[in-house]
Amino acid sequence: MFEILKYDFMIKALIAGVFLSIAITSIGVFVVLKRYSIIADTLSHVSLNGLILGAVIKINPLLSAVLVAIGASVLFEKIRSSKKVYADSILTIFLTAGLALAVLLISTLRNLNLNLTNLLFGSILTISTEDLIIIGFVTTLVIISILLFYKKFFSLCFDEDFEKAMGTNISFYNYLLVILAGLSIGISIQIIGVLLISGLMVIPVVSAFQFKMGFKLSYFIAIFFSLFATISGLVISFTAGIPSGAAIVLVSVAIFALSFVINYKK
Amino acid sequence: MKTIITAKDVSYSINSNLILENISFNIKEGDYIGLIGPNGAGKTTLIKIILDITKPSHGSIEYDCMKCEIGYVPQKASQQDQSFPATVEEIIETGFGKKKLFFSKKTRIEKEMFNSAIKQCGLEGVRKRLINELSGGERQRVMIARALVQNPALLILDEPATGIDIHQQENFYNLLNKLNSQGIAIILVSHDVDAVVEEVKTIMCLKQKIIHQGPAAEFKLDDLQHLYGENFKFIRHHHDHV
Repeated sequence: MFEILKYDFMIKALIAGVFLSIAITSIGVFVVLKRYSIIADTLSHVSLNGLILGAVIKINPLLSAVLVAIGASVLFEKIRSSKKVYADSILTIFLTAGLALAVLLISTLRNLNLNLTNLLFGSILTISTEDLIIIGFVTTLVIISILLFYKKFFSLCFDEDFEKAMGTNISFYNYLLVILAGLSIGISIQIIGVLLISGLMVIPVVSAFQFKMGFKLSYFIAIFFSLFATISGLVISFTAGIPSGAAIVLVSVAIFALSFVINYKK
Repeated sequence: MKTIITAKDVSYSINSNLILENISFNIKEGDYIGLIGPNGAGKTTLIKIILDITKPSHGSIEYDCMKCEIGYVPQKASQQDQSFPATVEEIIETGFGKKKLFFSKKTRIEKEMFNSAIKQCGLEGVRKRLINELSGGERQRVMIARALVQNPALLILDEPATGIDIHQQENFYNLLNKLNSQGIAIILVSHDVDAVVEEVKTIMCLKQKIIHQGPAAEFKLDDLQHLYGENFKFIRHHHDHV
């Protein structure tokens, strides 16, 4: 098993996997409670255009994916807070529009050097040192935000009206949360893949909630499940030669099934 | 008794649609006010103005207490997402309001307030349980404990008895009476006119303006007909006090 650590690309993939597991699950805990689970699918489909844009204008695709995800998340929150369209409807519009635009760009710009299978299902071969720096930076930003604003995010998920009455700047925290979601999803595209990111954002969180341990403990359980799924998924991907995103998400689903069965009668 | 809040000629309008007109009143320590009125009377707007969430178009609210000393129990608070995975203690802690870091601990005073709020609301036995495992009445007491941790001078409850059965309502109103007897002023907003008239000391009837304000004991059926219209029928149901 330790043979995999002889490969530079595998070490990079494991480090990146640990970082993005912490980032994406930390935000996933709040996203799930706000009933925004579909946001991961939406932002990942929109970010696909960021990857394409990066290839066109020749900048790091991960950076352009992150920037596009941030732009989409800000626009989503702007429209949602206007209360003129339901949140899930906005997310569906963004998801389909993002995918349609990506299909259009891929079919038009045929000379792009993009591996569609890797983009959709993830690959452990594609992480560069520059990517690792971006992933590390974004994860640090997410962790700092959680350390600073955890209690406000938690309270806002439970009772926004109460926080309004306490004079909390609701808009600031809602924007911050979707921007952090955009950042986490943007950095996860290469390893997890566009189609499977929502699995890592949602499944470990829902699995942890099955144990009915209170919020803070559930948060740590979710991070643990996410790390376990990512590391074991990457190892399986390497040894079995299957796409990393698929392996990670299938391990997550197995954890969920086990958590559900163990806690069924609780 | 010390005046906590003074409203002077408060009016509020949206796009030339007048919601509140020349509202003036005082709230003193130990007051127990029932705020009643039909839908659209401006009750929620008035509460938002008192809480300083909404600014009045005209007039002013003067505070003789810190704004953080106003505890609030929002409408349907006890009916929040019933699968929410948090313990009673975690929910009550959010009442401290101030931004708290992930690992930060409560100060000694905060601990005292926290334990006192739990004790006052009779939640000692369920403090470690998940909020979704509690009954409607217990959940409502959690919401009150959350509002109490800041040691409020005034407690505002918006339709607090909704979704709570009659027996639990008795315990709930007993709790409010106990808090009021300790000097906490209370504003109870409710559609349950019968219960409000029976529980509070003062009735404030709102229908864009204050159309009646006075002791609950002197409140008459005529006042209700004035508030809700000539076709209003008053059906009394009994609350047996413990």
